[in-house]
Amino acid sequence: MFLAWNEFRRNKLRYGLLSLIMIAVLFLVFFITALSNGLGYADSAAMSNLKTEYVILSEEAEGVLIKSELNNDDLDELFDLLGEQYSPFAITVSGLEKVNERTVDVAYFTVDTERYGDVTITEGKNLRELEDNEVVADESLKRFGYELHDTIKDSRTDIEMTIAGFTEDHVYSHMPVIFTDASIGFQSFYRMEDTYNAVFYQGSEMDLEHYDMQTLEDTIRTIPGYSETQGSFMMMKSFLFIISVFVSSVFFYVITLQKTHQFGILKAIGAQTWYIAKSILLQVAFITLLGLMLSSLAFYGIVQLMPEEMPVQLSWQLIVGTGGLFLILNMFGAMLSIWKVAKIDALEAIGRME
Amino acid sequence: MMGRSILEIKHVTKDFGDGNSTIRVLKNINLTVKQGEFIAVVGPSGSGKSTLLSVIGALLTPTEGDILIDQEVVHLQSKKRFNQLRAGKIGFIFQSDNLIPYLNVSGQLKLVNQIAKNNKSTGQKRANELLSRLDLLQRRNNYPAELSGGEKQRVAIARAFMNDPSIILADEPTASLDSVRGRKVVEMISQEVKSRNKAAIMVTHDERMLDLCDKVYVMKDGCLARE
Repeated sequence: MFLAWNEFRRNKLRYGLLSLIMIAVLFLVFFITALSNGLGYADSAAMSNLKTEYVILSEEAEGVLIKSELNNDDLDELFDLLGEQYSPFAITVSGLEKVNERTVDVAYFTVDTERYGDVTITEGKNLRELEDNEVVADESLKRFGYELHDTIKDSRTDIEMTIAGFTEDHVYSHMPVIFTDASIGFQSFYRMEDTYNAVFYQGSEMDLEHYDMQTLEDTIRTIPGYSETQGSFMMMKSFLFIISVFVSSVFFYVITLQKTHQFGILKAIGAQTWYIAKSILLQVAFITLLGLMLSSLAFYGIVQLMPEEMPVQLSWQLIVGTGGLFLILNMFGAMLSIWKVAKIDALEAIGRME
Repeated sequence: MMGRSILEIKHVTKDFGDGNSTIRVLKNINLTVKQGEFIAVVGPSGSGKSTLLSVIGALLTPTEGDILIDQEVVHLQSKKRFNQLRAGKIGFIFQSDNLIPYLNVSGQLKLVNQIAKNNKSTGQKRANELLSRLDLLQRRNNYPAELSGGEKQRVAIARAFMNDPSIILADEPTASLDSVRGRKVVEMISQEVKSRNKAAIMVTHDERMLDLCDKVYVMKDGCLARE
């Protein structure tokens, strides 16, 4: 404690710079991780949160949900095959009319509100409770100024709807999702007849003629660009992580190695290796924790300053986890050089070997 | 005044091996140092003086023979005991000052007290006393970088005496000083040894300092002989 503190006080510039590097590195890790998490989330969160085990698509779709087309005849056939455990699903991308401003892009998820099941509701009604022309929208719609009980108007069909509830974590291709009942009619948006993308099914897997049945995970994986997007985010995050952990622990290794001579003196006047190690570990822990605190503060501040449309997502678990890992690996880097000191004679470190 | 023997070296040899050949650096060394004695070891470089000092100081273990400090055999001890021995019974003064750069003068002494796990307030008193004796009181808040060579070496002496050791080992304490300052430093070591009834061994090249010592030994090719 005595050694560690005095060294800080005496070498303010050196340790100040080191802390600054630590803050910058951690900030970068947090920021990039949050951004890529957010982008990955905005891309397909709504798909991951669909309430189903299996997705049934038309055969020609080759597993890709938005290429799949099922008409009313198909639905009847599937109803005969599957019974009550099924619910139809359609995605329609459109826009909302906004006064004096550009339209807001949204994705309508047309479902059978009686069958689809409950979604996480943050405000208002759930799907089952919806009445005529009422919808449940994702919270991200609030950013555009919409509130509960507001009336929204589709810009292409001029259909008017009321927001009766808000859900969370339903974003599709960076667009807020609006759950609508089939009675509103977006499933016949492009054609004169009803066209669904898929039928959801809970139960045991079975082989269907003319249709493909696959798990929800497989369906998400076949979203065009999904694996490419998530894959590159993953690679970016892990490389950033490895490089920054490596840089910071090597920093501590080198800065400790520089002090070999001092450790030799300390050992010669009778200090045990643990006494030296304690002071080093204290320093590493202090700098890392300081960096962690200030960088998460800086991250928080930047998020407040950024426009709300910027998708950033970072859980406190990730911050704590990242901090913990940095702490351990930085200490490991410092211990590596202490281990060297423990091995060599005090004599050698002093440089007085005849 | 010269009573009890503090250091006894019995038939000590030290070999350095580099794989296929071994060099015998110390050959059958015998030496006894009593309380209040200040001994000088002179000799050409490479004769094994510093090795002898390192073996006594528990920085190296002898190949053969025994070293006793206060009747305790040194090299049979564990590594931890080595450290305790250095912290409690041995005071080192090195060739260059070897102070910790980020501690001020009183910090240097406080550190020794902490490592030896001694009482804080007695340590404080002891530090004040040492600093005033060595004329360092007004420099107590200065850092090594702000001290002159002589002052640094005086701090090193104070540090060596701080843990109230039985024996002081000084390795060329005057090497980095001019002759006037060097002599003053050696005088101070001598004074401390006499007044506190300690023992000291000084390895030196500097023949002009020898009149301050009680006995002078010459080291030559690993053998130690009384001059």
